[in-house]
Amino acid sequence: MPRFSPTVVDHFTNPRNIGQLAGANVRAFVGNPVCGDQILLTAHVRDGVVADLRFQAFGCSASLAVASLLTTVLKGEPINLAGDLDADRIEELTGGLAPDQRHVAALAADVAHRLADNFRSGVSDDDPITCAS
Amino acid sequence: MTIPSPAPPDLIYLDHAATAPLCEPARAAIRRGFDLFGNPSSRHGAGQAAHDALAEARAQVAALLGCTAEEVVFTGGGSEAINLALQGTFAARDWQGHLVTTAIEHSAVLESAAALSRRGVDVTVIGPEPSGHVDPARIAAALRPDTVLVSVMHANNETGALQPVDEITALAHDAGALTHVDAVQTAGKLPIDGLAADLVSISAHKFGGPKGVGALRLSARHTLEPLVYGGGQESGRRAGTENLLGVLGMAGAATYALEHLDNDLVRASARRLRKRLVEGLSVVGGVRLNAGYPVVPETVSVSFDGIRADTLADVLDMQGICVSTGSACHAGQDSPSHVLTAMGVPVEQAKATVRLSFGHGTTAADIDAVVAATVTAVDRLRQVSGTAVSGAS
Repeated sequence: MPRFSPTVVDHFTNPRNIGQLAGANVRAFVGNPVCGDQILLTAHVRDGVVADLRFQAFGCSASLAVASLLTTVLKGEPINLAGDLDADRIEELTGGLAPDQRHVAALAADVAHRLADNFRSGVSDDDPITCAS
Repeated sequence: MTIPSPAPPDLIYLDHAATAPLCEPARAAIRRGFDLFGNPSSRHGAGQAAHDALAEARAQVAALLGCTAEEVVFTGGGSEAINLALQGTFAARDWQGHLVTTAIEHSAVLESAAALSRRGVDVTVIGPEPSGHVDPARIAAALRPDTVLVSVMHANNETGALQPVDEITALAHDAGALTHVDAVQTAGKLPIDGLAADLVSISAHKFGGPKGVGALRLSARHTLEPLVYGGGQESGRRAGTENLLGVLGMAGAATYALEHLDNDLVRASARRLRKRLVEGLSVVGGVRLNAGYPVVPETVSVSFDGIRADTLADVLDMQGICVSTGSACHAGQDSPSHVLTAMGVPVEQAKATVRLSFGHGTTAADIDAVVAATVTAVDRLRQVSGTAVSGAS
């Protein structure tokens, strides 16, 4: 049985929307600062819609895949969608995760929620990706 | 020269330190064994045919180990050979005395040493130098009048660093101690028939034989207690009906290995492939080699700043390229390699380390393909993490 679903393979071998968005008006970070999986989203939200967003991530293959997948799901959608996503929905979108990969669905849900919350609160996270050099 | 069986055509297999593809001479020997169904201990013709095949195989493995046939004990693999060497030696001495080993040994040695310690054996573990090598002077300083055994690996399974095992053996012998050399990573790559150690462990699947079979070279003057009691096979040192198919496969691989062990062209080719690999990878910048010389050319431990090794290995795997993070035995574990940690490698660098280990079937074209795929993947993963690395070209 393959270790990864085709969707997960597609996203970690060909990640979409990499980088930090210049002119972003909301930024959200989640992750384990001790070299664990980390995801940073930078987005431009206009009229309540995610007009554009980018991600940076450091972590396992599945965490990179869900971060990339998340950007494709949220782009062009109302920012409220980010607050409504949960881990089960993200796992469904990945086409399935092995038991040892399921934590990344929760990680993706956390960063999506944080993006929505930060936008609502008018705050942004700093760029905290560490352990990458 | 017989050409070993290649990996499947769509794979580039650079994980020979974990296990090597079954070579054609091993396959042929195993096929021959399918008809040898008799029990080697039986008196009848079927049993004697198996007995004779076993004796022939023992002589072939003895040639690889540089000993007499009587000094070869077949085991169920490298870990069992190592455990027999360590546990068996101290069991025969009522768990008394002192063991000296190193922090970079395979877990088969370290866990066996821990078990000995629980039984009352005094254990000293020596750390390596930052180059990945063990300083013989530090071994010498650890030797005591009650030191029974010194156990040091010939080459490290993660870094390939070659250890000064004969110098260590000389020091141990001068102090009245015996030595065990874990030659699992060098058997089939380098000559091991001249090793001065009293005990030498090998594992068939690391040099083109089947899994689940290994051997311990045991000098005549060494006494040990078996791990497995029973019918008295292996001269009472390892009971159980012999794994004839496995032993025949190991013997086939040993005979093949002996054809090229001293071949300068083969060794020069391995060094050229290593150079090609290391130079090719260095273009991406932020690259660190984790072992100094001397080193087994076939094993390359390399770290890439700004990436996680497990992710890189997954990306390469999706392209049909098989590499390892650290050692296969530690793959899946979250803790960094005990070998790299003992060498003083920082956690971030240890977690950014992949091991690429090639073998007889590896070509320059394979190396070039791996270099190209790795450079692209590392570059992409650094983009994903937002890591800027100086020195990339």
